[in-house]
Amino acid sequence: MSDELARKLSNDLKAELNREVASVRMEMEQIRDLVQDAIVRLTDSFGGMRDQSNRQLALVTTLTSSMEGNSDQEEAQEGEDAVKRINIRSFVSETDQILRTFVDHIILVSRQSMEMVHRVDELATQMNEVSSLLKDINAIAELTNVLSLNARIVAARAGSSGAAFSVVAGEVRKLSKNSHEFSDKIGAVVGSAKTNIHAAKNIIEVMASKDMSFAIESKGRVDEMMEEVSDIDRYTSETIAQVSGIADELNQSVGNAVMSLQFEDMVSQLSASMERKFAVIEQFAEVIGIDQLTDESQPMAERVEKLQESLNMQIQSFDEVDRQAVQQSSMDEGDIELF
Amino acid sequence: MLVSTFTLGELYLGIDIILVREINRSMECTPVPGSQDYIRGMLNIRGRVISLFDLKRRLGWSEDEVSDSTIKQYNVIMKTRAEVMKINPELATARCPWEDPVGLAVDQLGDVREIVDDNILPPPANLRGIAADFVHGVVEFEQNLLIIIDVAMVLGLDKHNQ
Repeated sequence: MSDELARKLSNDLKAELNREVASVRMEMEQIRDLVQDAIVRLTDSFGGMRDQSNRQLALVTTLTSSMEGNSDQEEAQEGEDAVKRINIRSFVSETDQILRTFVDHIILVSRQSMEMVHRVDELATQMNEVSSLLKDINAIAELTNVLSLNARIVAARAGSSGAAFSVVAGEVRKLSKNSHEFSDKIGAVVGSAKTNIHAAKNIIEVMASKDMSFAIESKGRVDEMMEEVSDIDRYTSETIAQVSGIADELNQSVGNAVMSLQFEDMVSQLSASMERKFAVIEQFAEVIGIDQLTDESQPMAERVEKLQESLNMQIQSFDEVDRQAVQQSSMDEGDIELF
Repeated sequence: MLVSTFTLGELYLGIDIILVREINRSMECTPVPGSQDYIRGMLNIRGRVISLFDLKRRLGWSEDEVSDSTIKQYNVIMKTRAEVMKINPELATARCPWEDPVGLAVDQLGDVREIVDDNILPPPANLRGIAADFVHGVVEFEQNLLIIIDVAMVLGLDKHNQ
């Protein structure tokens, strides 16, 4: 009776052990599936991230080279791709060049205006000389007039015999009158010319002085602006270089992450080992039964010896399974040979 | 007759050309102390000493009007009675009583005009700037009134007393 109970208990123990081992094994398999699934997704995701990082790096590199203007390279490609060559730095330097030429021209014009002022001054002086010469001409005309009157007085004394002489004197007087009128007209023209020259001189003077100061101010302002643009350009280049560095680091980090994801293999190996261990444990249940201890058909000493033998065998086979298990305890130690 | 014309301010004056010896531009003259105010001074023209009359002062013009245009004037030098006598004794007897060389200071010179004697009118009573005593006669001329002066009266000589 007690034998039968013992056998039943032994069977129940085995059945419960098997059930529990099966449950643990199932959950372990679930863990393995979940990990595998997650790892596949993470690998895909990190791979995508690395691609994006690489694209970003490529874009930043293009931008940097465009900013720096790789002049040697561009000169080699001259004519082939003229539009691309206009980057900020070359735009700045070309604008600077154009404005410099412009300012130089204005300064030249100003200098010429100053010279023109001197010339106009000379012209005004010469006009004054013309005026004084006209006064001399008028004086001569006046003297001629007096002379002709005196000639007519003398002609009158001669009576009828002086009539012809009187006509000549009259003609001389007319000439003097004409030359007087003529020199008056010239005087009027010279006067208006003097007014015009004075006005022109004023305009040129304003032009000469104003333009010069404006041009010099402009030149200074342009230089300042060029410096500011250069600063901005330098700052942008530096920032882009930094961004490029960060992209490199990001790429490296993603690489590390992808590498780290290869722990899946270890998990698989560990789970396989556990699988084998479970088999050994199940075998243990088969080999070592309570009924063996309670079987009174054999002497006690023999039963204990047999059980001890079974235990030894069990220990031996578990140790054997354990030796096959993964020797590695961390990711860092395994190196490439794992994969 | 031929008349030598000139201006004195706004007045248009004339003298028989036979009485005129020559015309000069105004020149420096030597004042004569103690003489009347209308004697400007003595002129020396080619060795002849001539008494120069200031016509404006002689006609009784105010000091403002006199000093107004002394800068640029002309001198009308008259012939002497002896000189006129050689040319026209009748004229010399009638209108040239002065024996010494004299001159009149005037403003601007005009022209020599031919005047028909019949056109000479007696002086009007209301002439401004010149007393009727100094006027020999007037002629209307191109909308101007030409006043022919009586040189003997201007020089202060009464020809009728001769």
